[in-house]
Amino acid sequence: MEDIAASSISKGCFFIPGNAKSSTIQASDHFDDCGVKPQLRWKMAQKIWNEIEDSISNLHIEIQEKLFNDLVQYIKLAQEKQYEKNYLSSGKRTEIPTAALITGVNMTDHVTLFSQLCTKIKEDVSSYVAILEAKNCSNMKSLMRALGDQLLNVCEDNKKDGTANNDLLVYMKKKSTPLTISMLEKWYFKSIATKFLQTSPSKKRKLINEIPNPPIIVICQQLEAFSSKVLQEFILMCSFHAQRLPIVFVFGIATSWSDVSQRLLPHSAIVHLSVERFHAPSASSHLALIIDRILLTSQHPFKLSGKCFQLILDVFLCHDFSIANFLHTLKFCVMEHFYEQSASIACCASLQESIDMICNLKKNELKEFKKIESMKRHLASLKADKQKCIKDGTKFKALVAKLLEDLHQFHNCYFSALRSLHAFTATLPHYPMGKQIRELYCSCFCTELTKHDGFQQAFTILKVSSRDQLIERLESCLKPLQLSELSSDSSQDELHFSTACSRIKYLINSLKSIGENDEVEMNENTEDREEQLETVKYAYQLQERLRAKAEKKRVKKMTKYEKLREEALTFLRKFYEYHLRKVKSFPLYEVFYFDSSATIRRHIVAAPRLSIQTALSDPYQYLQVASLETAAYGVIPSNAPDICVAYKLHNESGNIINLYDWLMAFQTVVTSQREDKENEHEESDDVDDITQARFIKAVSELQFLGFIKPTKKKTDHVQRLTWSHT
Amino acid sequence: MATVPIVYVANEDVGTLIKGIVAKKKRGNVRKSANQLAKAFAETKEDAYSLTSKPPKKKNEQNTGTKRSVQDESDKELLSVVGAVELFDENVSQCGTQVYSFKTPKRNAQMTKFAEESAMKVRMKQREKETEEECQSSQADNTNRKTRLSEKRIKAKHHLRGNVHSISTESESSDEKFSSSDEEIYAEQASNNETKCNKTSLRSSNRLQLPTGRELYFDAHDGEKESHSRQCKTSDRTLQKLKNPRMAPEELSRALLKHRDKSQKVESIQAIESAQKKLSETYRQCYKKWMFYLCNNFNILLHGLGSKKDLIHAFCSDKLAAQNKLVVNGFFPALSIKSILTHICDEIIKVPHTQNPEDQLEILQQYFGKESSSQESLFLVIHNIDGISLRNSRTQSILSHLAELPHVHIIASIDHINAALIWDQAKLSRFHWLWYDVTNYASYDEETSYEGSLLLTGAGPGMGSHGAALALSGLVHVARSLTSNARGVFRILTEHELEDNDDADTVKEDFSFTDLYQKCRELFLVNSELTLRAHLTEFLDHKLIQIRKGPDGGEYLSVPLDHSTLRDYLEQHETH
Repeated sequence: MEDIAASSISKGCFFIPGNAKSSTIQASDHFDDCGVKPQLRWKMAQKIWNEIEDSISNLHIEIQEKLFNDLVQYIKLAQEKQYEKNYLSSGKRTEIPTAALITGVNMTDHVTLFSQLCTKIKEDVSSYVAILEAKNCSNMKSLMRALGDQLLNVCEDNKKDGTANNDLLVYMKKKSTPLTISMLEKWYFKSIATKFLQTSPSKKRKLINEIPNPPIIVICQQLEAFSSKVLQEFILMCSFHAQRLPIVFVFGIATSWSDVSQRLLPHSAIVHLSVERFHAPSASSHLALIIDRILLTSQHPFKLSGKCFQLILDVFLCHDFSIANFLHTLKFCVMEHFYEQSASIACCASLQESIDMICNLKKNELKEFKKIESMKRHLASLKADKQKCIKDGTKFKALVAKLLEDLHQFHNCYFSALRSLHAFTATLPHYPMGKQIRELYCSCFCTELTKHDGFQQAFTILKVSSRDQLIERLESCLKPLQLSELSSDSSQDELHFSTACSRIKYLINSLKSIGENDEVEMNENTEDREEQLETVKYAYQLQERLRAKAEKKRVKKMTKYEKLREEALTFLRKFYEYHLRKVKSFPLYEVFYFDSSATIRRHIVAAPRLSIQTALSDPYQYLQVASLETAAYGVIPSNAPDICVAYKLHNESGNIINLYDWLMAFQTVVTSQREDKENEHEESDDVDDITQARFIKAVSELQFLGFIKPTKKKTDHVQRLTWSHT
Repeated sequence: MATVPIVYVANEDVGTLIKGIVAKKKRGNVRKSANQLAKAFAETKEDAYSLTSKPPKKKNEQNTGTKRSVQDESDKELLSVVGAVELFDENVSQCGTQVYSFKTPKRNAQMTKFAEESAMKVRMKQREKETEEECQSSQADNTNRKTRLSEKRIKAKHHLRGNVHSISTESESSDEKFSSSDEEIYAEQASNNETKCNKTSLRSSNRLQLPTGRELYFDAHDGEKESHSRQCKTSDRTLQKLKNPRMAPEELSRALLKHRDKSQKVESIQAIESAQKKLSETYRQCYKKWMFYLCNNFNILLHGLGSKKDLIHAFCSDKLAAQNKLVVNGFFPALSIKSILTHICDEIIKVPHTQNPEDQLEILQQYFGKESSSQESLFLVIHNIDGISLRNSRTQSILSHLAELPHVHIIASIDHINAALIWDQAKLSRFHWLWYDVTNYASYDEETSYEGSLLLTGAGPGMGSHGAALALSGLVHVARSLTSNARGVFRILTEHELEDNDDADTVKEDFSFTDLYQKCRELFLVNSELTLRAHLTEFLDHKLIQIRKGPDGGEYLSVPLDHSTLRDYLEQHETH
């Protein structure tokens, strides 16, 4: 192996060829090789991730399909309208049809959106499509160049034979040639003509009837980034030629049309556009759909724990709004789950697969299951005689299988129940259970529903709801339950889905059937009145009696509706509390749930500056040496790394630091331990070479890290760059 | 159960009392306060006592431990704080003021004082240990002598302008506190309770520390004027006071080697070094995982204190021996994105490279963008992707486009504290970083060798020990390609620059353009201002001179190179 410590004073890059030719790397070679069946786990990870990715991309297509269809339709129509105008009224067409595509703030994902749109238009409408980006269009010339290049490339694809007279084309393709729109126009008609000639005569007739000349579509990605002057000129120029050249604009807009029309484009430009607005789904609604359709279902065995889910969501909502990044983090979670958790071998979509997998495991592989935290807790809670039988392999297998079955069954109902509860409480004032279903998911993951404040609050509000509201809510909560198809093999428990559904239906019906009038049962007895006649000796007796009577009245006043309401609520309460038990309370939940938010935080949303400053100010966090423990309390241990000593001292200074004083202080600290031994050696203001060298090194390292920089304000001073007076 | 005295406290006071307790708990300060409410919390505080002695990483568990014993409403505040911390940081449960030193007012010579204090504390600790081993006979005079000694030292070290008196009284008072705490220590030592000793020393440290939060706030945010006047209040001493004011790079490395030899015998330093080794060992165990994620189209970014060069090298030789790799030293000052791209084009694709980096990128995108699995991969190993020469956004955007390609994998490191600012959202989403904290306290030997320092000879700002050599050779090269007249002009400039240096205290005056013209004419070097300007343009292009406008509107010239370099140049030039 050659020495790859590449360094030189004249070169910064070094190429080192691999010593084995044509070697390709395989991720599977680098998968963790300890734990249970690593290769199989890697395959499962791939499979699961591919499934998730597929279903997400399907969803993408579904979301975008409508938008794209609308756009394509608009472009086609615009073309036809213009054709009519030109030939029927022979009026001058100066308006350019424009589709304003409002995309919302999410720049990173939009590149793919536009390229997809581009291919879609190429397939369906016309091959003359160009995407303009702001960075290529700083002035008119470069804009025309970018436009021309893309259009010319298109036509090259069209005619491979090259029989057409290409003088113009060759000339136009030269990079140095300044392109003009009239050149483009000339080229455009020529290319249409050749295309027309190439098609067979039978098709010709058809073509004449359909589209005489395919439109040129110019897509501007992120209109806000363009300079207003260039845009204005471009629009004016196009409108001048619009009579003959069928140009259609598609503008990608991140803010809003009114913002663009007021700030970016002057009136003189806007009058030449006939704008129609299209809305792309916003990033957050898009994400909500992904979460709803893909993550919060029992469809994929891999699931995120509440905390992780919350964290990734926070990154999305507070950092980047990028679906692509969200998916990347999700991918990381899947990979990490299968890499680290060897019990993930049982993370299969169907129960049968999981059980088969368990049956095939060897004894030492089964041991991994005993190491899981929740399993340990479960085992500890078992009775002594049962604990003995765990040592037996087959019985342990049976136990694991049983637990997995429980989890599977729980999951089957879990998400429907979650949706139902969300529908039931979503319309309450102040949203005690959260506005989005994902909030509900997060809170249900780690807290028991009975202890959930919002849940209690929701039911107290529901207790006073009116009849219409209640019926409405019951109907909405019934829907998700009915949607879920469940095999009704389990016992006819009253909390089972099918029975619950019929029960709720019955409740709704009976609620509807109560009339307004038959509410009070008139069985007031006159006893209390007589009682009241009794004289009371003391005031407090009267008070007590009155209180008791009020109580009685309250109980009695319960109408038929109120009774029904009470019944419905207690039933639903029981139902939800059963089906939405805390996930963490299940043993072996780690098989399916990725529950290490710390890992995500460390590797996806790291805090590099925090780690450096922690290392400097409190080295004990990293170096577990007892003598460093005091560093956090303002004492500098003399044996701390030099850079830590220098850093701690520099914290005590203002915005500029005298190097000499710093050096002296440094020496004081560094030699504090040694001096004890050579006591009488005092008054040594002279700094020895070693200390000075260490100081120089520490200071230049601090400079490298960006804490200080040399300054010329005063001789032998450096400037402090963090938290100093300015 | 002991009886708990109940005291009436006004509503508005409750908040402050509680806050006091919470704050005290956080600081680990265990001073028994006189107020009665605190007594009610004695139990929880006992917990806090034991916490301070445990390693800080476990702080969270401790907090949850205290949680259980708390019933009082007042402690809800504490709980909510803990909750927030838990959500965002499980393992780093420190408050910001401990890690970041926020804007706080600084006084004269505070650094020296701080160093003294901490050194004394360290010494005191040692003493504790020693006295534990010894018998207690000679205690009293021993401590007396030592305090006297340290007193002397402080007085000697604080040569402060003007108010020597006030400082010395201050140090005396601190000494008093000190000796009193010493006595406490010895009293407690009798009961052999070491943890308490630590606590008392901590307590004294807290007492020594500066004013309350409110005062600090007003000090820090005083009017503009006052802070301005405070700015220059550093002492006037310079490095000239030292025996050896500026070290040569060779001396430096020699001294460091000596230090390494010496420290091999000191066990406390040895302990730290072994801990460092242990850290590196743990990072080495991640190699397999890094490789796994690299294969899955993530890129690895290493951060944390300490040079990551060795770690990355070890990774390369361990896992990437069979792969094509390009090692880039981002800290190298003359690096450019073009040289990186050209290297890749030359060595791997073997196409004649084009001029424009963007065009090169396009070629690379076509080459490495293929989906086929038979395509060879390229590993870009970038030390310091935040290096000076790579910091601009164009470079980073090209790198990010490279990172996106399925067959290009990047493993990079960052060191600068503001490094994360070089990427915007779009670039970050292309890079797909996985961050790894690999704090290892290794020294940045190579990385800093290009850096300028005031403490070294032969290193002007912006150029390190290597830089000096580079500057000289560059200068000679430029000079060789010039006419003799132009060289003459430059010599005049250099000599003037060196003359100035002789009397260091006077403010440097740059050469005015008219003076230079006069001198050049006298020596028959130029015949018109235009020719002189032509010569100067040449120098300007090579950054050998700087021109700035003077207050009188005239132009002033200076040579931004180090004096020793210039002297070397003159000597060498004479021989040519």
